[in-house]
Amino acid sequence: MNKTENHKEKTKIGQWWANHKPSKRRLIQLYAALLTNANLKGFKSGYIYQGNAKYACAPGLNCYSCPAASASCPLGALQNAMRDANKTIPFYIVGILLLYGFLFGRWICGFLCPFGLLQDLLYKIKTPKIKKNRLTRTASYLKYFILAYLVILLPLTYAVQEYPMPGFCKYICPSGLLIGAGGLLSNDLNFNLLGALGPLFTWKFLLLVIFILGSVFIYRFFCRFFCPLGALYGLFNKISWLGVKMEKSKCTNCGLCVGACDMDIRHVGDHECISCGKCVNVCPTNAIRYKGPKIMLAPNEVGLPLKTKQNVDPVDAPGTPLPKKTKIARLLVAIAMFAVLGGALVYYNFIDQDPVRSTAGQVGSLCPDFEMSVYKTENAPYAGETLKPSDSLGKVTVINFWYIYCGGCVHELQDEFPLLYEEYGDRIEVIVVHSDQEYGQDITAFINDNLPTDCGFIYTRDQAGEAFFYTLTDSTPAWPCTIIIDEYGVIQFKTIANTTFEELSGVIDELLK
Amino acid sequence: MSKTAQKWIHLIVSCILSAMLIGLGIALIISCLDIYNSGPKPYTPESIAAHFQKISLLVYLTAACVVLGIVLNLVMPQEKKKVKAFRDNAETLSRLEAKAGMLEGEFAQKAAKEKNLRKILRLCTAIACVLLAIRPLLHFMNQDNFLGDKTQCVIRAMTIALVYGAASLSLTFLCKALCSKSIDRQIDIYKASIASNGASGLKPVVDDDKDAKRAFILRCVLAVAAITFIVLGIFNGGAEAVLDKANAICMECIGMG
Repeated sequence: MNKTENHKEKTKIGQWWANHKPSKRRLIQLYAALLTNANLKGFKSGYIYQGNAKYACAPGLNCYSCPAASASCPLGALQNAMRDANKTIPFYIVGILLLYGFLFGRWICGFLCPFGLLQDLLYKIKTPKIKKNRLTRTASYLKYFILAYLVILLPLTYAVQEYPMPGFCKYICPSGLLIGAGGLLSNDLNFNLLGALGPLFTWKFLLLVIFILGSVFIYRFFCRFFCPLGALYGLFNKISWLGVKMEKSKCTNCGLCVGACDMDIRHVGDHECISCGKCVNVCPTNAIRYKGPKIMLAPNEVGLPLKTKQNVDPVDAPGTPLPKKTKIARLLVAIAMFAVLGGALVYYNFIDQDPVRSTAGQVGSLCPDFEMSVYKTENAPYAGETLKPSDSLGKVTVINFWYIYCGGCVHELQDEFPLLYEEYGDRIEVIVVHSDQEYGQDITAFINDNLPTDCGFIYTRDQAGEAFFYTLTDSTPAWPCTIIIDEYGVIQFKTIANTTFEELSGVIDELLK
Repeated sequence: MSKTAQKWIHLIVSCILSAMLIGLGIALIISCLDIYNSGPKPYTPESIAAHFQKISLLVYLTAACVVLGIVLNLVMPQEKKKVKAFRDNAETLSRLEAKAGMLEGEFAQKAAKEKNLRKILRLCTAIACVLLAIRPLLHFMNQDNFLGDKTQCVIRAMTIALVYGAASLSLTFLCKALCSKSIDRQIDIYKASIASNGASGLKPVVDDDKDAKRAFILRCVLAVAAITFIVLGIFNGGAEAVLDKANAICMECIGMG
């Protein structure tokens, strides 16, 4: 190979690399996804992280029940806060959303959201693509509908009944199913959670398949049409600190920016814009640029190169050398970012310790004896006393674990458990155990107002850090959990899921024979 | 290899991959429904694996096709399509407005008529949308509609909201389409005026600095509000509630049941 051919080859490889190397946006997306899911040991142990870092919310859509999640989900937290909106104004989560909104807007969708990254990667699969059109533009308003009704109105409506109803999480959220439920179920040690699967899971699985398939054929299928978090951040897009901005004075209205964009934007930087930077690359007059500091991203540095109208590739064009100050600042920011990621990985995976998995509460074994303090509810037997499961020896005993923020728990106590009393009366004992955490709520008042108090149920509190509950659920903090103990104190049935009267009565009938 | 041959290879691979992905999606849904209908609970990893075993070949084949597609893209990259321009006619109109200057006579009358038509259309649509939003809101405000089976109540409420939402969305888009037609007509009026009277040579008045200042002020207000809210939230137990909820798994909330 002579010198000229060698040079040509190098240029070819160089060109190939220029076209295929990961863009800065992709690297930031990967970084954010890893930081948001830094508790990687969770996949191995099957536990979720339960430390103080969950005071903070991750900016993107990332279920906090994922074993790897290192922070809370803003949407889940918002819906949960709505449950208490009739008592406490949800200042904290609204403040966090405002903070993310004015700082980043939908830049979060383009750069920080792990589910956005997943959709971007799925769209790379080689299939024919459905481009944006009038129909997709119309459909893009659906997410505002979901935000208004499922995230805000529905939880607020049920808040009057003091019933937690995270409408979006429960019925739509693909992140909850994919990394929350999927992450937990992927570990063999959590096989006891399989009992929970039913119609709701089937519905959400169907939706998840549609979202994933849709993302292969349509750019950011979930983001554009269904994501209420994107809808919320989109409201701040025009004033956010980061994002893209068009200088109208330089714009020639050539329309290349909107044409190059895969989202349903009508103008650069409007509520649909995720700041991916494609418009920055195609603008022939350099009217579009990134807002905020130029330390991380300068114009024409984002995304893979696109041919401009004049067929000039910005990557091939001679670049302007960066000032030394900016170079140093970039280096420092990069070092800081790596330090944060490294620190997070070390903390979550090596310093933070998971609980030791207990196997004492298996079906067929004697029920472990833990102390429970009885709430002073109306018509309460043993009010104020301390009980143990062994106190009920000689009687079939149903023990149910619940907590106030669990909609499924409240639902089964309101609708299924009273049927047990109607059917069996005093022949069985029903002990209802609330979590040791009181969540800033008056649990006694909640029981008096919302749960059946005339059925002889014993409402108790699981003392000492929910040791009883964790022993029975093999240390997985998943509610509700119901066990049935026979008259000799042996566990005969256990489910970590919503249960029904039929399911319970089938076991109780056998034991009472 | 010729460009046409490359194009055909890309097309065939992408079509096969699409068919396989859609097939896999359908197979996954059928398997899930099959598991759900097969019962009895509780499911075991073995019983679930047995169901998915049936589609394992399809999974492997699809994965192989996806890898083939990636390799093909790396080895034989497709040419990027030329970006199609998308002009916003409202922006074109504002530019023409400035370019044409003050309209006179028949042109001015016609342009004013189109402007008024758009105003009336927008006002009527806004009123109709507000009226359409009242019915679902009333449904949500009435607690009697949310007693009993939760899922049934939610389905009923969402159906009502969707029907009225779809109606208001359709109205909005009808209004937008009509406005767009009106803008096109006004563009023609300005073009005709420029053709007969000549251009004024003016450009639309754009003040980027003013927009930036407004955004900065809003950002400052929001920053203060956000920090105040977070501090208030820490003191009123909001932060604790976020932590407590994040540390517990509600099976229903993650869609498991």
